[in-house]
Amino acid sequence: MDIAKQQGFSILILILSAITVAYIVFPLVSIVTFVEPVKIFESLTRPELWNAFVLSLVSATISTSLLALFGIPLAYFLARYRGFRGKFVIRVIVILPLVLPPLASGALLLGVFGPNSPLTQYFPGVEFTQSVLGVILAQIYVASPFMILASQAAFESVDESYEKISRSLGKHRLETFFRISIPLAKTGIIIGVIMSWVRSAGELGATMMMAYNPHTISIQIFEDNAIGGLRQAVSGIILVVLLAILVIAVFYILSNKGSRIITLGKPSNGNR
Amino acid sequence: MAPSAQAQTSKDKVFVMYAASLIKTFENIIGPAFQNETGYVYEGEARGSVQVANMIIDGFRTPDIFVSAGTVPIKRLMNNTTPFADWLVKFGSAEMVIAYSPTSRFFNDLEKARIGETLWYQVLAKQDFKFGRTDPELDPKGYYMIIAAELANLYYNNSGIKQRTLGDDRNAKQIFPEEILKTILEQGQLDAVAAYKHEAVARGLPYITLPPQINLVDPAFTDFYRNGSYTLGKDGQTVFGEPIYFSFTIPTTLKNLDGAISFGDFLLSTNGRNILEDQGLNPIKPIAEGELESIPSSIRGVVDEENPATLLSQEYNHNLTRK
Repeated sequence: MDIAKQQGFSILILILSAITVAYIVFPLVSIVTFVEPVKIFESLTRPELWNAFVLSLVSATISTSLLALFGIPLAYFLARYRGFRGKFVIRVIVILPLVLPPLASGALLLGVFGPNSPLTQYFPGVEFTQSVLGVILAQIYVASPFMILASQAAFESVDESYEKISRSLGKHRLETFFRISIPLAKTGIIIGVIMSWVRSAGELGATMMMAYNPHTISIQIFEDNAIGGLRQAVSGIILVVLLAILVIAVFYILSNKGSRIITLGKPSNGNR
Repeated sequence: MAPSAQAQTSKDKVFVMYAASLIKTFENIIGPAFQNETGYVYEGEARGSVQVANMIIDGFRTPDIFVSAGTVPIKRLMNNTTPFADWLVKFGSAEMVIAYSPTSRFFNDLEKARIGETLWYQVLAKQDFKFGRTDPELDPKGYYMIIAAELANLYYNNSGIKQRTLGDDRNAKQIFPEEILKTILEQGQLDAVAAYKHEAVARGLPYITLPPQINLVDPAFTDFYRNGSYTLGKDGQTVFGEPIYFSFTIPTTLKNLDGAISFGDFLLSTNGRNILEDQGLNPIKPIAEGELESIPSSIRGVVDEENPATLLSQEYNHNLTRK
């Protein structure tokens, strides 16, 4: 009886998983119908496509770095400082960029950073919009919930007693933070970093408002579709799929599964 | 218009916002050609022309050049309480057509309409026919299609045509963003779409030509065109049917005056006009409207005809509370 139940459970899990995977993969498979062998090479080697791709990679990296710098401390604050009264409000604020439609976020950001706003009067030489800076500002806004919430969950799962022990051994709070709290929260923070990075690289709606030019890869795909339909947009889509593969590879390396890749899949016998 | 202090930092860049129907022409041909010829860096953003005007008025964008489908969006800038433009130059004329795709379920019927064996509106009125068009609140093509349908009622002497082909002015089943309209047509989601001839040509789509009395291309029918109209929601402005003239202006938001003038010159040059004609937009002798003295001299020098008195024409019934 027990074995049958176990097998039944496994089968159920497999079926549900298979349906989920199929749902995600199937639309991508249909891309093949849009690939014209002669034209696809030409389309893939367009300089503007690669410029857009590189811009997305670079800007996402900068945005994520800034988000880590400011978001991780906020996450720590939300996880640790329990007495603070306004936490409910802050939590609502933190998830707002996630709930707002990106186009709306972009429009609101334009109000703050747009050509007519007070901020731009104080910094007359700086191009806050329609520039790389505009891309970064948009990405930071929409990706912030991923960094903050993932890091917050990670800190909350760290047993506070480790931090207290460190303090009782005479270490300052800053040293405790860097040598105890962060390493123990590492996996969750890495997930936050990767999700923020991916969200930034894939961002479209807010970027369309804040910085239609220079084109990120999402906007290039959008424009390619507007000009020539899916046939033209396919090359950008292919690049982004390759990017997804790259991201997972990086994730493996960052989580110390790198050794498995090197030994070609054989699990290590070390103490993990 | 004196260049602002910021002109130094964006000296090499010319930011052009233009009617979305020209996206392929501008991004693939005009932009690179302009860049090659003048050395200025072309930076373009395509949107529905009404939306461009709104973004300029709302302070969201500061383009050097605004190329608009029809003159109404630029006139909205000119008539604003704080004007964002003082003049416009009409440089090309466009034609409304019904574009479709080989994936259309009604392809055979549409082909028959194209060669004149059936009437276009009879095909569009068929049960389950999915017609697509753009939002008249964002895109001139949106209101031009509505106007063309109103003219069809008169021309064919059949008052049911507009209702049976389009339904409500902002019929949610037919209205789609301009950027995806032709894609979903090609994907088989729609059977036909309202388009300009130059768009259909650029995209390689077959299209049905409409009678000149209703397709808004022929200045000879200017008076008849006025029988159709659409009232915009944002400020109550009524647009009357007119020959569709693509026009451009250098808005007051400009950052790069020399670059903007250079682009205007390019559009009106032989090279520019040849490109546009190749792409299906009929070049016309340039006609200027508005404050003619404000037009940069190199542009004004090429203009053939001037109409100063359009700002206060009785076409526009504004709400007093408009911005």
